[in-house]
Amino acid sequence: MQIHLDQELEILRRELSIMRNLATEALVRAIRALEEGRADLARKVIEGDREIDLQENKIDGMLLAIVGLKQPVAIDLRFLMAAMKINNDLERVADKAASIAKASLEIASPSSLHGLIEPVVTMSGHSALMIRDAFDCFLGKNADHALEVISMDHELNTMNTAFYNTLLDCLRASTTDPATALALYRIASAIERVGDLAKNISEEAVYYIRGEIIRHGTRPD
Amino acid sequence: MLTMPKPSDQAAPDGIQLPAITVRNFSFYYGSNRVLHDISLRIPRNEVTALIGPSGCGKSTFLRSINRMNDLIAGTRSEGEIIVGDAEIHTPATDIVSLRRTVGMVFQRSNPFPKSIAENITYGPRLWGIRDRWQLDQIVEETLRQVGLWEEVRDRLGASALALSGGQQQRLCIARAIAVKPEILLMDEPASALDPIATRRIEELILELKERFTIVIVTHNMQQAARISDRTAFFYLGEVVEYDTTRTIFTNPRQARTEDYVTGRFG
Ligand SMILES: Nc1ncnc2c1ncn2[C@@H]1O[C@H](COP(=O)(O)OP(=O)(O)O)[C@@H](O)[C@H]1O
Ligand SMILES: [Mg+2]
Repeated sequence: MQIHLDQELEILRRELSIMRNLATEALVRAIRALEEGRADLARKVIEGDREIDLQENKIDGMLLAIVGLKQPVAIDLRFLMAAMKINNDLERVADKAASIAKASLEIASPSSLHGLIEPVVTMSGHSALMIRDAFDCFLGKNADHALEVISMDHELNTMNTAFYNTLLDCLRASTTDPATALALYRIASAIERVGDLAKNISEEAVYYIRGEIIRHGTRPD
Repeated sequence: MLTMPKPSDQAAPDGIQLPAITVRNFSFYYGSNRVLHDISLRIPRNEVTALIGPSGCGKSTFLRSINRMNDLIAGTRSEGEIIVGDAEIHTPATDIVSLRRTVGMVFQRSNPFPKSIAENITYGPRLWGIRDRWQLDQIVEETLRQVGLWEEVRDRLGASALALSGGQQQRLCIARAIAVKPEILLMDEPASALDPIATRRIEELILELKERFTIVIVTHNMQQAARISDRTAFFYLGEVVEYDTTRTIFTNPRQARTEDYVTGRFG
């Protein structure tokens, strides 16, 4: 009986890893589309979102079957609860990638935007790293590093605030077209949300590993 | 019969304010074979406490220690204390008959007496000196109602108890146990011989009965322990490895051995 559960959990881990790869790839591609001004790549990301939705549904179905049929408890149950949320978080990462791709289509010639693309690329690299690390902490049962990933979110927020101020300056100085500035603002906000999702994933990992709820700054007594 | 615990018990870390049963450093031997090792725990009133653990780890022995049923086995001996209400149950002053009235027991195999349904219920109260026909009839109806059997058997109270279904027989045994108005009910795998529907009825009954009684139940069915108990003690090799709220035991146990056992990865 338990062998069966372990086998199913292994398959679930594989499917979640696929989900993670799809979501982070979408993010990386969306940023490359922005950086290189490639509308074809942006459209691929937008179309690819459907595949990720299907993967989310597939994992949801597996989770439902395992919970219903195997009646897991304790660490197994916590793993499945965390997996359920992380699956959803990853789907939202992909949504954010699609938003970035859409916004990138509104930016005519990124090469003319001196100094405004680099911060976005740095931020997105940071957020993709956070997603990767948070997820690896989940599968690798590394609660300590998961807590570090949570603290990485502050940096991302700081970068985002700085970037917002830069955009404001550009708008005031009329060196940037307002539509482009708004598109960049939407992209930076989407990246900032990806950081939040990485934070969620880390929190869910800690919950699974330690049985502690650390979300919303609460710790059970 | 149960009174307030001694003040020293109230500050215990498990947060149980009013234990029905307090066990302190209890060990039990069959001959020279020590099967319970230094067990200490407090079982709260009006709650269901489940004892889980692999076969042979001492759950039944522990359960039977609470009303000294093990005394019936030659060569047994115990150390430590079991306090029921406010009285230690191994003192020379302990009245065993009265202890077994306070602490009733229901076994795995339903074992009604080969007598009528009504006689199964009135057996205990008669033993306690109740002879009045009307009063005994009252007890029969009241206890059968409490176990949800009244409507099913009211027309055949004189029929043999052995003609009842397995699930009905088990509920009759519970009725027989509560007819003498105990305070504590010990149940050793009460539903393990029953089909799922009869099992569900016993589980519902247990949840109703805890309003009136303190229930300690041994069960091999982990989902059953999770469904009906408030607290769970995990026994292993004669020791209590972990004793906590059922919620903690099944969602976030502290001990690795408990986690391995409840998730089925034992040994
Ligand atoms: N009547 C008995 N005489 C001698 N040994 C016994 C007796 N009953 C149980 N034991 C032993 O005590 C240990 C605990 O048994 P028991 O309390 O029945 O465990 P459980 O209920 O957890 O399966 C076992 O090793 C068992 O062999
Ligand atoms: Mg037993």
